[in-house]
Amino acid sequence: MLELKDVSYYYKSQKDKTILNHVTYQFKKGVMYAILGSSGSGKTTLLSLLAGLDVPVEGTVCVAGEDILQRGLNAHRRDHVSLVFQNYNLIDYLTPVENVKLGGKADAEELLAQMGIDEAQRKRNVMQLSGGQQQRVAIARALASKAPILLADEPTGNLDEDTANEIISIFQKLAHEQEKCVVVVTHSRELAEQADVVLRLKKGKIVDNTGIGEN
Amino acid sequence: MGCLERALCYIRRKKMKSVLLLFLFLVINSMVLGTLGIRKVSLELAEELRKNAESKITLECMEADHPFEETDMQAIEEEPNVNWLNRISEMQVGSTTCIPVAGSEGSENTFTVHGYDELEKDSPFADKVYRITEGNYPQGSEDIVVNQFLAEHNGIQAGDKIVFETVDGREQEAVVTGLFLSGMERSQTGNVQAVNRIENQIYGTADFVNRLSGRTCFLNVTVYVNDPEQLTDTKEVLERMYQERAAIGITDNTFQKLKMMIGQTGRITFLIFALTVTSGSLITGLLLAMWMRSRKTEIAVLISLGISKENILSQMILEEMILYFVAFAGAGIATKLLLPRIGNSLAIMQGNSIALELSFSWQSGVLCIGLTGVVILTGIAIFPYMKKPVKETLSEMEG
Repeated sequence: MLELKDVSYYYKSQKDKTILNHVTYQFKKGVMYAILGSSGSGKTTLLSLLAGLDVPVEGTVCVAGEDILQRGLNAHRRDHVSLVFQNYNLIDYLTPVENVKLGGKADAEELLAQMGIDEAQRKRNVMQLSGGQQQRVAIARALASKAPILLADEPTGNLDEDTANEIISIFQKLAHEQEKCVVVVTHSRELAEQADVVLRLKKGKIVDNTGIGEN
Repeated sequence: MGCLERALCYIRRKKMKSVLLLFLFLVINSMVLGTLGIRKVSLELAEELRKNAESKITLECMEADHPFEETDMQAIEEEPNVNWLNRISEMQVGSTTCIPVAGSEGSENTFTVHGYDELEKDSPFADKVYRITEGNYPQGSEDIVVNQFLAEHNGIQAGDKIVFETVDGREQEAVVTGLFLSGMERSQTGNVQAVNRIENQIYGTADFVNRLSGRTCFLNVTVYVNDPEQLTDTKEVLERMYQERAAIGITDNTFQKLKMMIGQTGRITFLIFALTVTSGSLITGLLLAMWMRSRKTEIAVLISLGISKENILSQMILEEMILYFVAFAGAGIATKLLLPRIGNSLAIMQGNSIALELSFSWQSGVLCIGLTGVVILTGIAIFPYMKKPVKETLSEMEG
């Protein structure tokens, strides 16, 4: 579904410091992936490349066999992937419903209801919600696009343990029940343990992967 | 959500920013419209003044036996800056039906008849030394006005006829269309000759005097010009033509005085206009730059959601344009209420009422230029964040 083909990434000003070094990997639908790695290992860069927020220096990122550059990064971001951030990144002057509508044309009210956001909360200023509620709104927004790939960068980083568990279970359901390809970048071993496949990044390479999605 | 919907949400929910920007636009637009209104009127006044300043060149014939003739009038009229001529004639006559008020002992009982193409322009009537007390100014070639004391002296009323007689026996009938008074009749001493007494001055048209004298000639000519700015040039031309025959002078005090005042008003309003536009642009630009900086995350998030940069730019531009448009409408109402007051104060200067208002085309121009300015300033403010890679902004956010 989503494929990295011999992808390398480094900053042009620091060619000797390679962030991703000839990475090749294929992500499949219906699987939840966790990418683990120490700071600076290239996790966020990998996620940015998958999301079409940046382009590899070498290699290609493909969706259904087509290079995302050919289709256009904007179209890739709109149609193929949806993002969930550690800081939620909700638009502060929009209500939860309006934030979800930014993601796509899906029924925002229904999505928010599925995420456990009640009617009163939906019409409130999004900044007045708790961290967990904001992350649920962010997930609803990601789902609104109906994109087959969900990318999450430290989605539980700012949440307490109970809320984090709830969020993880939402991701699992999305992968297993809605057949989405869920890729989560995390530091958390607890979260990684819930994933179907765990990828470890070290010195710009995937050095280890375990689970059903082994390549 | 479309860009317009997002823009409206931003304006509604970010109240402080919106009100501040709205107020700023309102002040800028009010000042721009106000100063432009004054500037427009000062330009119109200057043009009006140029047309109606009645700046003139006077040619006084120095040799009574060599007066200006019709050919001279034609030559003067052919000069490009000449608007029209007030031809002035004068002669001394007697009368078979009217007795002059007696003058000094031994003086001849004659009248002085003055002829003007436009009596109200250059005669003592123009300077309000004489004023019409009854009837009207002479219009036709047989019309005259006479002194009220002379009328009483001879039992004449407006509408009566007087027959004048020249030295060579020529007679000419005239109709009295009005009576005048100077107020200085009684203060004249007994030494004044009859012909010079105010009571014995008769005023008619230049044609009347010419018919009376039997020849077309003029002792003085007042030349009114089209463009007072070129008065000196025209004077120089006339000097070359009549330097030896006439004393030539110019009168444009009114024009110079008003020109200075209007020029000053124009310069001040232009200065206010320039300062308003410069400072307004600067403050708006700085505010937008500051606010856009705080919106870089929002821009990055919207891009990450697959919303195009053009769409995001449109949203930001629409936000400012909507506020600008509302402010412009408010400023339009404010200036519509305020400009008449300013017009009244200018009217004191000009002497007439001034319709101080901006035409639709001027207002449309200000609106278009303002909106263009807003688009440019927004574009400049947002440009760095549009150009910055989304990944970098998001990485900064995530720490």
